[in-house]
Amino acid sequence: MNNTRNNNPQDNKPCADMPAKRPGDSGLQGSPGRVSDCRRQKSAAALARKTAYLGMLTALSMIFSYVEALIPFNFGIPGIKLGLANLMAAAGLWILAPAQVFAVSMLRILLTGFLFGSGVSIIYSLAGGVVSFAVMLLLKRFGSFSVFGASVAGGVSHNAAQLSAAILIMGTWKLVWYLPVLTVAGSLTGALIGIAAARVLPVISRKSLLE
Amino acid sequence: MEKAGQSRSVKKRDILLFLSIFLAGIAALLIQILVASLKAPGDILKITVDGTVWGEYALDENTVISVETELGMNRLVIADGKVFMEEADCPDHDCIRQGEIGKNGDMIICLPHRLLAEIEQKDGGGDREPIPDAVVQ
Repeated sequence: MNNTRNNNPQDNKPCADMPAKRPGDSGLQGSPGRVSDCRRQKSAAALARKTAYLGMLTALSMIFSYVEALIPFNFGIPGIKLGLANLMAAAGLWILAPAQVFAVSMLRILLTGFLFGSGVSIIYSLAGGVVSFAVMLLLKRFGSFSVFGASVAGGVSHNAAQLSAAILIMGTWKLVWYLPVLTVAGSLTGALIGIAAARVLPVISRKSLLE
Repeated sequence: MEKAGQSRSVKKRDILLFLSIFLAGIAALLIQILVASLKAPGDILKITVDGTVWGEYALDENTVISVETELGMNRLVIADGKVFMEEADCPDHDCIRQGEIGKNGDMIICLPHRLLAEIEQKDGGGDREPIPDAVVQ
């Protein structure tokens, strides 16, 4: 991953025919056909950096999943756990484009699922991951909640989605009985992750990491 | 990126959202605990695997039930009118941690093996209101 960064020694040199940097340009959009060679190199370098950064975040959230699997934090009811990897999903919404957060989440779920999980566990993780992502994005966009509120709703919706998946897979509505305990657990773990995300964000959103 | 500053300030609406969800959950839990305390002991253990009934067992007979399917193995024990999961070859063992059940409507679930063990009453089925007076031990 480090190599990707170092492969582009021209990164920091300004282009002669271009302004050194355009505000709000992430390097991902932009039409390569009409720009100079220098500009194209710069956008390729930005893409490489972005790729490396997203790869690093994916690896980090995989480590979160793995570390959590090592800690015996278990109440006997499937689905009740801290959800450390959701720290990435929640905080990510404030520093990355939604599609990028979604890609990191899905990659993390599929990779950890195939590496450490069983076939069915991926279905539960995917249900939770997709629904909580959608809920957190909606709260951020249209509810102007902070990362704390988004994370609380994310935790609860994550558990609700997993319970729905369990109801479908097990084929019985009786599992609805677990909704209250999963709601309480989801709001608490979501709050903890939200507090952590609010503390982590000022550090990881520093420009030096992204630009 | 541009909104990173906002994330630090937890707003009133965030706290309200958390409190309303949390307290609603707690209220529902309390109601459940109340309902559970009123439940009568059941007399049948019904085991369902992947949506189809595997078997029904009377709770007044102490026995060990091995459920072996292509999804995995679970061993349930009926002892003194109660049921618990003794062993399972799933990775997480959540079903074993769910402990003893014995009241009408109680259940133990094993998600990876799609197994549902629930307590029912002989007449009337598990979905009806329990009638405490009808149970004689």
